[in-house]
Amino acid sequence: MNYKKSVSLTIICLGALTILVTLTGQINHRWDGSRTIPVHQIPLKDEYDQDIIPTESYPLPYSTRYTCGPCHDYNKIHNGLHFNAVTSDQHGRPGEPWVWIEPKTGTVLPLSYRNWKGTWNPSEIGLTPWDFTLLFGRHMTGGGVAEPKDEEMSPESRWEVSGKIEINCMGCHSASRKQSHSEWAKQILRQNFRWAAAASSGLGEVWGMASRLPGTWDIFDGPNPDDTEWAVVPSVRYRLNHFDSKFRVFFDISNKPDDHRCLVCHSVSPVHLERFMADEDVHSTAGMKCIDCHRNDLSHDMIRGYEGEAIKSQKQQIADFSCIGCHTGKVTFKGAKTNAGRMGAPYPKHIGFPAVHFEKLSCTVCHSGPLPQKEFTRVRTSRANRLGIYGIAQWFTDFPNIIEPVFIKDQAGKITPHRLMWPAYWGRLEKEKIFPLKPADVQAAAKEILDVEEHIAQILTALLMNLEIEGIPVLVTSGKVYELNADGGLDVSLYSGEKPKAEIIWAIKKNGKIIPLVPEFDPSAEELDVEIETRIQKTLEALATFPDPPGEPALVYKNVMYQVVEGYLEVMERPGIIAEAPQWFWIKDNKTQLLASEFQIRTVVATVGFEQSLTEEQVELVLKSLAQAENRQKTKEKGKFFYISSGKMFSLDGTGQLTAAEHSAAEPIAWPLGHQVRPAQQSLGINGCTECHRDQSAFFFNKVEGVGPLKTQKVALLSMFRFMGKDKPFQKLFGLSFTVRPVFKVVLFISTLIIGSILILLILLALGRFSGIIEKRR
Amino acid sequence: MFGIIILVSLFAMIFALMFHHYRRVLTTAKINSADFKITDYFSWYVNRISKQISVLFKNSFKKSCQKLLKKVIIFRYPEVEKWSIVGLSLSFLFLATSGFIYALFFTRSLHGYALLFHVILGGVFSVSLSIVVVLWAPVYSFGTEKEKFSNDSPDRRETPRPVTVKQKILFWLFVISGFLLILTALTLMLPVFSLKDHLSMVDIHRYSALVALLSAIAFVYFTLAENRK
Repeated sequence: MNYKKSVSLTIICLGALTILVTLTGQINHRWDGSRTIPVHQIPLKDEYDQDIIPTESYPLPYSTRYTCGPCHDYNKIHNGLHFNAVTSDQHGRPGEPWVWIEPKTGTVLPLSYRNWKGTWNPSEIGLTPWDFTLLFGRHMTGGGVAEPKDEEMSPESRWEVSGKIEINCMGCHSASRKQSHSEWAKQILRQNFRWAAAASSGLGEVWGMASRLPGTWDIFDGPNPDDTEWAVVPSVRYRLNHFDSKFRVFFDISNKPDDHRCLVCHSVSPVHLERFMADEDVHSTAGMKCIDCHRNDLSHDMIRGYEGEAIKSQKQQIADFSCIGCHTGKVTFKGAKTNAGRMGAPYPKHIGFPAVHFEKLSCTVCHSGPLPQKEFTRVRTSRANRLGIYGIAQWFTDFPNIIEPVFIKDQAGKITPHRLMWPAYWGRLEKEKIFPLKPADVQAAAKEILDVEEHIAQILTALLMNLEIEGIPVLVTSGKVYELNADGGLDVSLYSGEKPKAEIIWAIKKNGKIIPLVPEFDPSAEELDVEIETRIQKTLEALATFPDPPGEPALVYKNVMYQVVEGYLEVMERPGIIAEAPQWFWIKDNKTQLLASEFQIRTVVATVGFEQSLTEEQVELVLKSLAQAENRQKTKEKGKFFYISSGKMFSLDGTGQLTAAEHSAAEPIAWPLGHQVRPAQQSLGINGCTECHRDQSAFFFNKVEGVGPLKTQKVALLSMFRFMGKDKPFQKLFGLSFTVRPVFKVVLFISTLIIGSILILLILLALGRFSGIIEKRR
Repeated sequence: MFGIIILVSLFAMIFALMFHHYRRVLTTAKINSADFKITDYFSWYVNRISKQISVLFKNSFKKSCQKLLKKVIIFRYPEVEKWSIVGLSLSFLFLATSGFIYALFFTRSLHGYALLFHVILGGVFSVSLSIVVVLWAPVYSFGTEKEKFSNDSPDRRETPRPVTVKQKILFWLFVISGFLLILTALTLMLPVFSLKDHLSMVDIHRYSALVALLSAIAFVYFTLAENRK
């Protein structure tokens, strides 16, 4: 090889290497052993890997893929636990599902891309990654399903407008108090996906709403100067004081995320607990961080810390971080002993504790979650009940109704405390296969059957249009007063005034008093009082603003009807109706219809002010509507529609009546709880065996009652011993045996004393004989 | 491991006793034990068992049982002693059966109803063993007749037959292992010891049970053998 050739080859090789390094953009950062973390003063990059100049007029939001990616392998992180639900085939022990809540249809549907028992894969029920991200992006970490590949984007999605949600590194790793989860949730709701990380990190302010932009909008289109009020294009205004002269930003990074970052998505609190009474997990109190046990390397393949995880994942070092591994150092994996005592974990002596408990129970039975009591503890969790999002509106939901601790035998055969909830959803049963229905499909078929509260609220809203009433319009019925609330729904309070003249009265609440919508008058009088006439006319005009009214509004009192015709109040006789009190109607084709039907009033009375949002009557009507809709479609396969709630499957029988039956699809879904760990003094069993082993103990004999959005008496009732796979008579007998156990101990003690004394005597005699003392005494 | 030890020791014990019995038969028949052949021994044993069974069913089963019970020495004892021995025997039979069946044939330790009854009959065992020890200690104590600490006992009575040293050793072996069984059962119920101690206690309980079973079998065998004489 001549000189020229070798120089050319060397140049080509060096060039190829440079290109390779540039393309991958990765610096292979191996830990040098220093326990410090570098200062993150770095340039921001947008999603096209271009430097962000904050002083530009329309800077793009920063991209974590390109800002953090040069030092931290984004694609490697992308396979971590928080991002790999769709791609991983190792799902481990069941965890908390995502719960799709839709109050109007009474849907409480547990979803998960992981194949955990009782959950539905979103794709099975027709939810695209776009739908899923819109529903749950508020508590997602970004990446994974929220960052689909181009070929995975469904045509109806709006990823091009909103952008994808890249992994929100700062969501976990920010040590700044400016990191705002509420801002994140707000931006996700506005479909400002690509702007959410910048907005929530506090690096800049984000304006505009991608949700209001046309589906054809593209980020290169830029802002729309013609619309600065409604369809405002999202944009970020970076806070310039965060940048240095080279436009580098200081990221206040926590290598080990602070607990409050984890708790954004992993908070669990009893519903009725006062904040000042809430204790931390005993590990946190001891100064530990979540990440001390739930650790990970760059792969972000986090240790979940449950027993058996090491065997499942075939990684020995994981075993150190389970309760047993850290506290006892038992042999857990291929004969290897765990490195117990890490972080000063104390060794539990478990004095007086029969060993059988360690075979049958997980550590969390006695040490985690609330103590079992007669009533289960109802909890709210961040992701299921939308906690931790602060603002004027109330974000959190009461459903799903999650209770704990429910002791269930887990996959490893050990009894473990679980959180439990009951699913509720509409579906179609076809050849024993369940097909859940989307809430939107149910609403489309059910029409006004489910819009009852909304209907009443709309009437009250329409009445508000009458500015002369100087009060709040209310509905008085069944001894209760219903009025509008800030969320567009109804609030209920008890009626304490005089007995109303009619069962249903539309009235005004003024200074706490209920007064009629129209003052008392004599309809048979020759001429009406002008004030009353005006009030009637204004009220009728206000009612006319009701969206899609079923007819023209009218007032009937005795046999006189008042109606606004061409702007004038017309008074006419109305034969056939004699109203003892003024009654408001819709009139169409000479047919009268009450402002709210008896069904609507009945339903509102039964549901408003209660946690349940549906009545059996509504369910029956919706099921009929669904069946009729299917009949109209003339599909070949006829299915049976059902509604699941409270552990029962409700469907129509041959005569069209609603019946409830048991079905595996109606069974509750449960997942083991790990936290919060209580101090040793609050362990279950600290006060003796009878905390569990007694007749009627909460541990064995508590009953889990089915709950759901349907108001019904037909609910499933499951005893705890059934979840544990235990025999009730035996547990009763065994529990009773503990009442005589003190006597039993005394008997054994006396026996050992007698036999022991004789044995000592025998030994002394033998010693005496062998030593010759007895002979000498003789 | 414990299961293997149970099986080996039980088979060894049964074989040793059977062999002892065979040798005794040879001695009685004045046959030189040097001519011993294992095949002869087994054929003798099978014949003997079948003969016993045929005798049992030759008469009515009930009569045979009654005849057998009359032969049992304990029915010659006073009421308290008699029922204590019955209690001890039956409870021990159940305790040994339930305990060793679970140790041999189940992966899980004793649990459920078997455990419940095991505990209940453990109480019966402890009470009856205490009574039997109190009553039989004078008879089974070592030393000369004069040295026996029961000589001063007011309810001293004649034993049906003098006991051999072998019986005495086996009796006290049974009592000591019984004592350990009760002691470990008691301590397992007390909130005093740690988990490690509990596990040791369970092991002591198991091995004491095995010693008790072996000594009980040997004791019964030698007692019956002495009665034959």
